[in-house]
Amino acid sequence: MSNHHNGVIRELPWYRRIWREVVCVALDIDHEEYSRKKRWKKIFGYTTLVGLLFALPAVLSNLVFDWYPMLDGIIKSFFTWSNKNPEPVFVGLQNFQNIFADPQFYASLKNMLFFFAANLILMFPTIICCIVLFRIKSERSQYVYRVLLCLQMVIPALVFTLMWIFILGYDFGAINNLLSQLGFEKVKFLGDPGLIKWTIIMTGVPFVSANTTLIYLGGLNGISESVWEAGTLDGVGPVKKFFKLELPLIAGQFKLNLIGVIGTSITAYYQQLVYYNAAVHDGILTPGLLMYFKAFPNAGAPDYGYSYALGLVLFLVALLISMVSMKFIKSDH
Amino acid sequence: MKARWNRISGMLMASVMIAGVFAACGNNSKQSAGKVTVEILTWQNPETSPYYKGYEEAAAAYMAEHENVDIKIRYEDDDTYGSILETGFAGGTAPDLIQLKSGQRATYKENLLDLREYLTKSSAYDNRNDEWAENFVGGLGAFPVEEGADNNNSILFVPNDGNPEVYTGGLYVYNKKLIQDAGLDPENPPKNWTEMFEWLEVLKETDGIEPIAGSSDVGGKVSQFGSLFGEDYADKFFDEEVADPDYSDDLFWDKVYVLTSYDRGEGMPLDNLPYYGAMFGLMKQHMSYYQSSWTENSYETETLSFANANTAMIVSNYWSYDTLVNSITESKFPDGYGIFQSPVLGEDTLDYAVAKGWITQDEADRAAPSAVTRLRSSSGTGQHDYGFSVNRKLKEDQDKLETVIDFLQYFSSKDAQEKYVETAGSLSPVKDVKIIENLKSFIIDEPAEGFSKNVLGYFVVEWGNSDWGVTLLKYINGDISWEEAVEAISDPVWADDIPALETLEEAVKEAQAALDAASDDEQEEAQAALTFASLRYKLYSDYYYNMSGNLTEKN
Repeated sequence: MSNHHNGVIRELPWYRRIWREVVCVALDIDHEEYSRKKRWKKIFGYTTLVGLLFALPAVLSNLVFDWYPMLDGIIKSFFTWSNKNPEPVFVGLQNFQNIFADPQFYASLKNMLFFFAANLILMFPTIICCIVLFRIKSERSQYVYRVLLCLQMVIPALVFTLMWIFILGYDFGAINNLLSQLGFEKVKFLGDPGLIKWTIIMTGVPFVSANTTLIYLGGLNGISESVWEAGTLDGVGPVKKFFKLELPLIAGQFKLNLIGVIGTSITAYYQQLVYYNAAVHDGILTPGLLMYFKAFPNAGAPDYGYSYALGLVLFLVALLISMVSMKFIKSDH
Repeated sequence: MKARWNRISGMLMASVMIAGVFAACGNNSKQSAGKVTVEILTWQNPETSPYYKGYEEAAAAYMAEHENVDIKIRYEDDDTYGSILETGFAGGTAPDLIQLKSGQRATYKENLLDLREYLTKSSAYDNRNDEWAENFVGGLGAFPVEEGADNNNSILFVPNDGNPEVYTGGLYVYNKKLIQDAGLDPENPPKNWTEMFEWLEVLKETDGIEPIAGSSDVGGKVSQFGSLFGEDYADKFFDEEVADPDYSDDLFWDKVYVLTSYDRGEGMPLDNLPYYGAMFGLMKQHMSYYQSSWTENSYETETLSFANANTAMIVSNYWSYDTLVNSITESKFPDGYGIFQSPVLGEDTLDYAVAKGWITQDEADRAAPSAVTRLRSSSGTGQHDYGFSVNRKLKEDQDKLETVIDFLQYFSSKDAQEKYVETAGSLSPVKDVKIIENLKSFIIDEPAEGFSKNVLGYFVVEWGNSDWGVTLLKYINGDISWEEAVEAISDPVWADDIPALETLEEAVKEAQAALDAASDDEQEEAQAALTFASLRYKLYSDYYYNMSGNLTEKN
C-alpha cells in the first residue's frame, strides 16, 4: 500500500511535492496519511483552520523578525555602503577578505575559544544539580527546591551582570573593600585584561541555569519508573547510576542544551559589551563584540558590510560545530 | 448549540489575535481626540541631570497653558542614542523633537526639517524682534547653515544650552582639606602647568589619597594635553590663499578631512608632527596622576571617588558642575572646595618636563614653537552648536508640527529661559538671559590677543581609527611607543565623508544668489558666506579632487 502511494507521489510534479512536504510538516502527518482522501476533510477541516489561524501570528512574526533579517544579512554581507553613500555596492567576497586579514579577528577568536571551553565545562554543574534534585525522595522538598531554583528567572540576566559590576568595582566594590580590610591588595577585576575573562565566567556562580534545569528535569521525569527499579534490583550504586543510567538517558536534552551553548558561545557579545572598557579590550574582544563595534563604532564610520559578513561567518561556524557534535553524540537509546 | 458557539468563539479569538498583531505593527502615533502628543528625545539622564528637570518644568508649564498638548520626554543613553535614532527613522517611529549634537545632525540631516521658514518669522512668545532667530545671541548669522534633505541652506535646529558669545573652560575642583593635609596651600592653586605638576607630584606621594578622580572617558582625559599643542597647525599644510585667519576656525575640520584623507586615503601626512613626542610624553605623565582604577570607572564612580574624599581633585565643566557640587558633603569637605581654571602650557613647563625626564630635550625643542600660549575656549565659537531638531516626518502632520514649533518658541522665550537656566544650571542661547552665579567661575575673559585657534591633534580622534582609545591606553601603559600608537591610530576612514565637488559648487552658487538678493544691512554677512563657500570649494578642489595643491608642511 505504502509502496503504491510512494509510486504515485513520485509521479507528482515538483511543486505538488513541495506542497505535500509543507503540509506534512505543518500538520505533523506522514505521506501515507496525506494521500488518504478521506483525511482531506480533516486536514482542511474547521479545527485545522482555527489552529492555523492561531499559529499565523507566530509564523508571521517568525518570518518577519527572524527569517527576513537572517536572509537579508546573508545578502548584505556581499555589499558595502556608508552614511554618505547609502546605496549598497556589491563587493563580492571583499568583506570576508577584510575579516580574514584583520588581526583583531584572530585575537578575538582566542577569547571566543576560552568562553566556549568554559561554557562547555560549566554545563555539568547544572546536570549534577538536576540529578541531585531528581533523587530527592520527598516531593514536597523537590517542589521547594524547584521553586527556589526558578525564582532567579524573574530577574533579567542583565541585572545580575550589573550587580556583579557593583560588587567587583575597584574603589567601592564589596569584594575589594573586604580584601582591603583584611590587608590584601585590591584586585582589578574589571580593569585587568588578563583577568576580565575569568571575572565574566566567575560571575555565573553557582553555574546552574534555571531554564536548563527544567529541561533536564523534564527529561528525567519522563523516564519510566521501571528503569530505576530495574537498576535498584541490579544493585546499581549512586555513581554508576549517574554514568550508566541518568546521564545517557538525558543525552537528548544534553544535545539540545549543547546546541544552545555552541550558539551563544560562538556569537557571545552582550556580557562582554556590558563589562567592556578600553583597558580590557584585548582580553574581552570576541568575534560577536567585534561585529557589534564594527557596526556601532565609538568613533569613525561604521563598517556594516564587515559586520554582516562576520555574522554569517559566525553562523556557519556555529552550524558546523553543532552538526559535528550531533553526529558524535547518540541519544537514540 | 454549544459546539456551534465554541466554533464561533474560536474563530473570534483567532481573528482578535491576528488583528492584535497587525495593530501592534501599525502606526502608534494616532492621537486621542483633540489631544496632540509630542515626544522629545534627550540624552540628559532624568535621575542625575538638572537639564532634564529643566526640560520637564518647561514642558509642564507649557502643558498647563495648553491642555490639548501632552509632552513626553524620553531619555536615551549616549551609548545607544545613535542606534535608537537609526532604527526610529528607518521604522518611522523616531521622536518628534530630538536633541542633537552637530555631528549627529550631519548624520541624520535627511530626516530633519529645515526650520529657516519658522526662524525668520516672529515668535509667539517673545516679540522683542521681528524674527524668532534674532531673539538668539548672534541672530540668524550665528546659526550654522547646513546641508539638509531639501537644500544646502538649511537650519536644522533650535539652539538650547550654550551661548556662542560666552567663552567657558574646564575647571579643576579640589578638596581644600586634602590639599592642606598634603602640605600644599589650598588658597594658592596652580596658575600654570609647572605649578600644577608640582601639586600633582606632592599629592601622588601622599598616603591614602590619589591626585585626580578619573573615568574611562579616554578621549576626555587625553584631550587635556592634546589641546595644548598644534594651534593653527592645520593651516601650515595649505597655501596662504586658503589660510585666511578670519576663516581659520571655520575651515578647520575641512582641512582635517583633507589631511586625514590625503591622496584619497593612500597617504597620511599627519604621522609625525614635531610636537607629538612632547604631547604624548606629557599626556602619559598627566594620566599617571589619575586614580589607579580610572580605566574601569564610570562617570558616577569618578564623582563618587571625589565626593568620598578618595581623590583630591576632579576635572569638571559647566555641564556637570551642578551634579558634582550636589554630591559634596560637609563631612568629607570640612574646609569646602576650591576651583581653578585649567592652566595653559608654557615653555617653562617643557623645561620642567625635560628636567624630570618625562620628555627629551629634542622633543621639547621641536614642540616649543607649537605650544599654545593662551587659552583656547571650549565653546564660544561664535555659532550655536546644538539644540533640538524637528523630525521631518512632521510635515505630514501639520497640527503636530505647529504644536512643536509653538513649544520651541515658548521654550526659547526670554521668560521661559530665565526660569530654565535656574533649574538646569545652564547657559542660555537667548539674548539678555541672566548668567547664573554657579557658571560665572567657568567663564573666561578673552585674552588681549584673542583665544587660541583650533589645534590639530587635540582629541586624537581626527586621526580616524575607531580603536584609538584602546591604542592610547596601550601607549600609556607602556606596551607600545608613541610612534607605534600614531601608526596604529592613523586611518583615513574619513575619505568617505568628503563632500562631493558638485555640492560645494552648488553652495557657492547659492551663496552668490543670497548676496545678490541681500539688502544693504545683510551685504556684509552674505559676502562673508560667499567667501567661506568659495574657500571651501577651492580647498577640496585643489587639495583633494584635483590634487594640484602642494599638501606638504610649509614651514
